[in-house]
Amino acid sequence: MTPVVINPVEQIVAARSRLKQVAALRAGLALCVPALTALLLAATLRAIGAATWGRVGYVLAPARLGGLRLALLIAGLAALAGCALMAWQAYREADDLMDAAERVDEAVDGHQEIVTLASLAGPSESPAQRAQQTPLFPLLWRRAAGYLERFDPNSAFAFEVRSPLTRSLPIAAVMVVVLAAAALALVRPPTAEQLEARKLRAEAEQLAGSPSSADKELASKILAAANALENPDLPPREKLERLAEAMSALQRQQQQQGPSPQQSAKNASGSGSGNGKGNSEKGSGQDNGQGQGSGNSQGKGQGQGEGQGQNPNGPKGKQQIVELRNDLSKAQAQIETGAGSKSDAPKPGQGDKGNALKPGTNPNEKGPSQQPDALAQGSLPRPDSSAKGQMPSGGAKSGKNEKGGHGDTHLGEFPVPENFQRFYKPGQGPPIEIRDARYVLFRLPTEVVSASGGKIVPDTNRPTASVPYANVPLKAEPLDATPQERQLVPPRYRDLIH
Amino acid sequence: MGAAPQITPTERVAEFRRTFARAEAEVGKVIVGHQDVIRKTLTALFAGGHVLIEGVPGLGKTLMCKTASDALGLSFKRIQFTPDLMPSDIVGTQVLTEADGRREFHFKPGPIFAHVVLGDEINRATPKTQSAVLEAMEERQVTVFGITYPLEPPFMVLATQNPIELEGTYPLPEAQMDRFLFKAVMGSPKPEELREILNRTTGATTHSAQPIFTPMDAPVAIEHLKALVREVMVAEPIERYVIGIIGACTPNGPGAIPEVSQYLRFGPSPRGAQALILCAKVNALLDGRVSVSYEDVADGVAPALRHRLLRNFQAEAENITTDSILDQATKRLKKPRA
Repeated sequence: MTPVVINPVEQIVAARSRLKQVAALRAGLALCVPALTALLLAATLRAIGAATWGRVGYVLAPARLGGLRLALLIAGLAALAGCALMAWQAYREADDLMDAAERVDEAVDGHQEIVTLASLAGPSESPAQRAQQTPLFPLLWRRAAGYLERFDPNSAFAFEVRSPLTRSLPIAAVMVVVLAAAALALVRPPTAEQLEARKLRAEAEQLAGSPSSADKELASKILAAANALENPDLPPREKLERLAEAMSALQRQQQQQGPSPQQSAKNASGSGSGNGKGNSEKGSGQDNGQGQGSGNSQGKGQGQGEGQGQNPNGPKGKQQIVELRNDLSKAQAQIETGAGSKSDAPKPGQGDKGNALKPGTNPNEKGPSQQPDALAQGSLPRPDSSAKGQMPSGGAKSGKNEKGGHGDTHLGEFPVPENFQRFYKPGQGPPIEIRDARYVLFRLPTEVVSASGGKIVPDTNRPTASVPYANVPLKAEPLDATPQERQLVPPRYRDLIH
Repeated sequence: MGAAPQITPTERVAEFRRTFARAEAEVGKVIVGHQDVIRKTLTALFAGGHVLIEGVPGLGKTLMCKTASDALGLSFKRIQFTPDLMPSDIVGTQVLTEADGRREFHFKPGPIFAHVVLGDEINRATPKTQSAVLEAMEERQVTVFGITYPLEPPFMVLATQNPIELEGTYPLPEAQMDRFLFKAVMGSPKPEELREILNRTTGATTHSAQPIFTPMDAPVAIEHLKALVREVMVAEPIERYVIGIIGACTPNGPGAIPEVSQYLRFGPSPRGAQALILCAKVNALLDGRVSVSYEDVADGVAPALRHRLLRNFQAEAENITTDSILDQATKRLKKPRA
């Protein structure tokens, strides 16, 4: 049997390679657990939010949930990059032959003979250079070879993962604690819109499981509406549009399945007549007008929803559709209520004070402003977009109740009449009251009483008004150039315009 | 010095160990106990240094030195240092001789011309006389009337001094203290050792050391062994460890421990580092190795550095010894990799 000749320098070099790998692994594992924890939390944050909602009844703020998730993702990826960087750094720093020799020396209890050999005969030293060492060098070589005869770098320097993982656990624990604190700071009771959105989402997910493509399409529409509802950056108009799309898809689905819920509602017990004025206009809205005044149509919607809900003959799918309609209607009501409250409109109870002319707050209108309790409680179905479509546009034709339908919301912004609209001139049309006035012109006294109680001096320069008040739009001035801006005309000049 | 014998490194190392062990054994035949002092004395001999032996009278310092030289077959001279001792009494002088009707000055070598010179109670001589030994210790030569006379290798000075009876003594200057490789402290014998001393010295049987080498072969053989010591290899981390020890023992130096800065005025010189390395090399050979380990270095810290540290007044007042400071320094000093 040929004896194996051990080259101690090669053994030391092999040990160095092994030590480099071990060092890289140890350094990389130091941040591995926090990185994986961050990524895992980022992946499960939505589920955690759902669990928070389902178990605790609180919801993570959707806007900040995304930010938190992004932050966790970035932190996890940064930690992973840090792992790689640290591993690379450790790998480079472990590239030290003397250090490896010391480790080998400790492993074989070589009394620094391995270290001495490595310091005198590194891999860069040629055999000729080695021969020029001290005469005792061959003896040192033999002794080192004897030490390393049964030395295995892989077994001597095993990958040890426990200690770096143990060291990194506190960091991961701190990360989890920080995240928990952040989650506690971000949770809040859900808003009404979020409640509706979650209901819609749940129903959409239920629908998505259906094999029917129509159901899937409807599910996607409802899901889009739910997402729009939860998106705080989306303006209410767009949310309403999404809901209207979902509602129209629902209607199409309904028409494919059988008789419409409206008809069913009509055939039902009629308990939906919670608002007589609404019911009176159920069948009248067949055109596609753009009517914005929704007071009467909302009343109609209530009747429809209630009637459908009480239809005992509907199949289970229809029942689900009815529930969907109800939820969509509630969501619409929530948005409209929210939009009304955001626009600084007077509260419904104050609408009859005539402070401002806002949609739905005109005391002459009959609409949601007069039904605040029903909307707030959500106990009655709200009108849907289809009801709006069926509502006759140009509400002025329908009588007095539609007078306030065009009420502008901003002073100084004159309403732009459509083709079918016109404004009354003074003296025409039904008698107008002061509350119908869009602008009020005040007649100021033409004479000023002296403060000192002396002679009364007439102000001849002040223009006098010809009519006490008017509801007339200002006369369009034929201008060559489009004005840059529109400004409110001072009251003193308004009666000069005819 | 003759040509190096054609023997393998392994045989050379084995020969060193054999010679050292035999010398220890031969000295041990006469001197009871004090193995550490004997070992350090022989270590200094093979390292090419000098030893200052400190101990109270009657412990066998002089006997040990003479026995060591006898065991190795080296010439031995003893100088009793007294206050009236003159430098010429040590190094020699020119004497006027008359031959064939002519009068000429001839150099009469002093007792310094020997392989092993024992300066007994060296601190009792005046500094002028003590300094006469300086050149011999460091340069291994003496100059008399402008003429330099080399000292035959191996040359070794073994000096003794008494830690008590300091009246009428002249403490060795730092420059001279630094020239001693080791300072060995000879303590009182243990009861068993004292009993053995009584048996050996009061009986009819006399004990003497048998020379290992003949007087003719001894210088060459010992020089070969000294050359072997110099061939022992030292790794770079070991050198850094030695440097770290020196730095730790230097007041306000890099890595100095608080005790060093508190109790020392001066630390060891570079000769201290040289002494550590040489001592470590001998220790490595005695262990059958041809490279120095950390343990070899640590073993020589106290004897090689204790006389190179200059204590301040506070340390003397608090009776803080240099050995305790060295012990603290070496304990706190981490090895390079650790």
